[in-house]
Amino acid sequence: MKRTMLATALLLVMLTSAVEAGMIDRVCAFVDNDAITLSELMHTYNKTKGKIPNITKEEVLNTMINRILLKRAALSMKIVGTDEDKIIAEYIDLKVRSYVIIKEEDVEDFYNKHRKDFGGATVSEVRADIEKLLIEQDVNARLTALLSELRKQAYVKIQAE
Amino acid sequence: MSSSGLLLNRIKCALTAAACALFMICAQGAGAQSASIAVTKITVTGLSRITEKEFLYMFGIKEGETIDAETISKGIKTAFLKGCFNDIKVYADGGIVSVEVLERPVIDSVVVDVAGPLSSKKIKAIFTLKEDGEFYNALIEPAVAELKRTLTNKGLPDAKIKYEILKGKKPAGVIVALTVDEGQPLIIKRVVIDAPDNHAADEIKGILNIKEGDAYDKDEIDSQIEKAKELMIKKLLYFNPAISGGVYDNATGTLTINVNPGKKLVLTFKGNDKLSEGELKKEMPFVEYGSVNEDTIEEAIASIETLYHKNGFINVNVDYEKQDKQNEIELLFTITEGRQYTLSDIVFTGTAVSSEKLSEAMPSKKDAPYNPDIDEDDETAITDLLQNEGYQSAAVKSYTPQIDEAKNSVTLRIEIYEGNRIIIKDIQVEGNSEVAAEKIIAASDIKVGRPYVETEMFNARQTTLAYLTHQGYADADVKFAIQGDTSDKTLILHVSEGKRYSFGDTIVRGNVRTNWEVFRRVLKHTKGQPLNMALAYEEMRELYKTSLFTSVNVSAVDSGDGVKDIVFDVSEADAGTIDYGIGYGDYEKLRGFFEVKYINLQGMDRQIAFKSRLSQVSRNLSLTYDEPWFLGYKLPFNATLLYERKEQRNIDSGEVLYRTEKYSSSVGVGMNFTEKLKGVLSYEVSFTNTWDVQPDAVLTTEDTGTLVISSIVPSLIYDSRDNPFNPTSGILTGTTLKVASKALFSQANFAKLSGYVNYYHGLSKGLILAMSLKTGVGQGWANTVDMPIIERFFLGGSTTVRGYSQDGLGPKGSSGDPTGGNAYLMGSSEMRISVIDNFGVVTFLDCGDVWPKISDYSLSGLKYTTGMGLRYMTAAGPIRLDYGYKLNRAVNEGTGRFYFSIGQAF
Repeated sequence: MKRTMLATALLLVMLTSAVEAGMIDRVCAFVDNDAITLSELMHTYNKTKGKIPNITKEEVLNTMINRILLKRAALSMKIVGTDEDKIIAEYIDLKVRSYVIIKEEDVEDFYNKHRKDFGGATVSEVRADIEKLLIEQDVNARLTALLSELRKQAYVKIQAE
Repeated sequence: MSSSGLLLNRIKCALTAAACALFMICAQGAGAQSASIAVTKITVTGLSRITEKEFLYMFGIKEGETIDAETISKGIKTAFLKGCFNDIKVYADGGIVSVEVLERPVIDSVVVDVAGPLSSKKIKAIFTLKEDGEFYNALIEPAVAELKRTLTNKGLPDAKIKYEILKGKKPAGVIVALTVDEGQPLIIKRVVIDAPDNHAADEIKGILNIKEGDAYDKDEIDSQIEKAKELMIKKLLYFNPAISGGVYDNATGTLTINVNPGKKLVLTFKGNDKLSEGELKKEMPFVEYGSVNEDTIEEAIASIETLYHKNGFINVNVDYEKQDKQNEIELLFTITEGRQYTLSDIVFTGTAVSSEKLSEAMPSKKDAPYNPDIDEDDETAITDLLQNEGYQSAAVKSYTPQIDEAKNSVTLRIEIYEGNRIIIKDIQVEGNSEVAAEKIIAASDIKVGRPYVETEMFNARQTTLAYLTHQGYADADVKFAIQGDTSDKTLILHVSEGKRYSFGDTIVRGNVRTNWEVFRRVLKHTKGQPLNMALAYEEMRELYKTSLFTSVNVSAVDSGDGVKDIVFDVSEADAGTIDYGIGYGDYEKLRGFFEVKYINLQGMDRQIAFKSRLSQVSRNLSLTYDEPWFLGYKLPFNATLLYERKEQRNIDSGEVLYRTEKYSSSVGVGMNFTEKLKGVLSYEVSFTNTWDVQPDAVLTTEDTGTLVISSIVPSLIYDSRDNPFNPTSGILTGTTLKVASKALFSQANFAKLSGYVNYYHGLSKGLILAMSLKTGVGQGWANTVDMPIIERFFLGGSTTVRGYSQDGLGPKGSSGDPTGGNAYLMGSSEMRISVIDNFGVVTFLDCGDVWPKISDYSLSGLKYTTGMGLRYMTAAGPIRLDYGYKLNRAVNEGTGRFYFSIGQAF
């Protein structure tokens, strides 16, 4: 994992340094026939950095790739709409959230493992919070797996020369 | 904050960061803003797969325009959709914009070096990477793994595959070089059928086409097993066979197939006088369910009863007897059919709608067998009809069959509740902001004063939606509602227009040979025009019509700001074709043709064809060139070079009437006025040598020797036939004028006008009336009195007046040889009857005559023939055998003759 991140970061360093004199724009990554241009990346990075200061260009680019994959998968399922965020969210609800089930024993197991961190609160007092947390954990794990599968089915390339 | 809250927050922060990395970022927007550039020049480098013109169309930037970073980013993204680039870099130096593209590699060829039983052709067919397909490194390993899996399944488990990616001849091309050592194939040395008894084993072995000595091909064996299962059910009457296995033992080469055929089902029916055993067996569910138990037998009985009810046997009774034996199950159905009842009358009460109209709508029909199982269908049909008349609350109050045992008949008494009839007294539109209410109402095509009918409302909604969609409101929705307390209601059209979209750029993918210009000609939509997908689909149909593609798909891709780019995905057809064939005709005897055609010359939809037609009386060689867009306009252009050598013979005596050798060339431009009406203007020059002309057929000095004819030929054709080879409806009509004059450097001066009308009409299924009327007149001037023999009209033969020999009708010389004439008229009418499958019968009446001069033209002396013919339909048209009988033949003239050829007479 660390090696992959290092390689991607290295690619991005090469990529941004590969902006030659006089170059206005280029394709910095693509998913099959959908291109992400360098100007788009920089624009999205600057905009996102205002809200999430620690975010890196690498994360933004990967996120842009993920959004293309998710939107494309949503459209192939005939999920339509004018707002890209809503299309993606609906797809995630359908393909990810609807499969998430948190059992009572999962809540209790989590509580027991972190009992000392709850400062004496009973399981019934923190059940709702633990449930939310476990749901998000499961959604993220499933989403990561789904994106990995979608990436396998597509031709994704981050440009480096 | 409590410690539990801190823990949860800490974990939530980590999850949020993870989610951000996955997809939760700010929505993508426009690219970074930068200073604008006034473009003075654009250069593009690195292109080989498409033209610069196509690239710049997609890129959307022109010299003279002022652009910014957003325009460039959008241009890159649009051009990238084409699917043939890996990178597009844009540079600017003052007003000079330079674009550098890096194309995605394409597979020039797949080269296979193979050692083993399977040929390189077979390996290429199995290999998933194909020539002209796109290539990137991630594709090769899965393709090789798939090839390895397939070879293993084909009995080559030791196959070794190596590959190498070489640079191709084209700039972006690669060659995939495979080296396949297939190793020793697994051979089936012994086939063991593991069945409960030898008899069953022998039966299965008989239908499985697997022999000892065959290579072990798992896919083929699986397919054989499936086929065997089907045959066991259909031919051997096992109703639930199981075959599994196909297990191969590497050590001994033994293939073991486990078979459990189960039992055979012997079905017997008793008491079925009115329905055949075959009809009843079709209803049996046992094979479908794979079991014979109480449930399936009950279902079989219900099916039998339903079939009898359908035929009017309302009191049918079915019993069964089942005997379970060691190898078979015997099932006997005993049927007591009872009496057959007919529906004698249907009486309606409580409605103003006519009984005829209601009866027509019902599945139950007067004077047909009475079926008690369709009462609900009848009620639904009545209710639907009344609702369509505006009676929205209509219902069937009672549905009573009255049986008359004496007459074996049933009278249906149906009492109806109509309710109020709802009439639309006003139409209002709500929710519209951009499209005028009047336009929406007009699009819906609903009229005030009409009854409110659900089905009409459904159709009106569709047409309204189509109208809004065509105006660019792709997300529009319309809901209909009625308001009002009385039977007079106001119809409310609730409209949600949604965003208005417009056409963006157009991208074509998949065209390797076809030039961008071919697509540009077809595209009717323009950038910025309201999005209308119906127009895009029309363009898709136009592309299909070129015959250059085996598939064309169109889709809209959102490119932001209410703009949708249109993407056409095409698969190109083979551009080169070779056709050949042989045939036989009673006049030409043995004949054959050979044709080589290329339909996409220079990728511009231009066609070049060489055709050769040979028979025992003629030789014909031609080279034609067709250009669908002449000088950039949609004017089909044609140029032809022709060589023809022909002998005109008397079919009975074999005597040659004359011989000709002709060299000609023609050029013509057409115009399609409508889809069915087209005009053509041609210029034609021919050098014809005519010799061995029977002396009594010579009318002018131009009938023998070399003759140059230079002519202008305008013509007009209207064609509404449904099928040119075997029409069943429509009209084909046309007229042609040929003017040859010394002013055009012609040796003969004449004008020749011909016209024809062919009419086809289907009278009923399998019965077609076909009629034809043809006429022509010609006149020479200056030194030409009669038209030359090669231009004169002749009649008689398989496609004109049947019963007469080829050219045997009309004026004759002193020795009885036909001379042809300057005027003719002929008519034909045929009744084309389809008998069974591809066989048909034709009866016909033909008439016509040829006259030496136009002034001789007369309807009084026409010769009539009648006859019959047989037809056998083939893909190339019907094979035809006709006999024509002369109705008003001259003294000492034969009675008629047979004709054998391909194609309808007209």
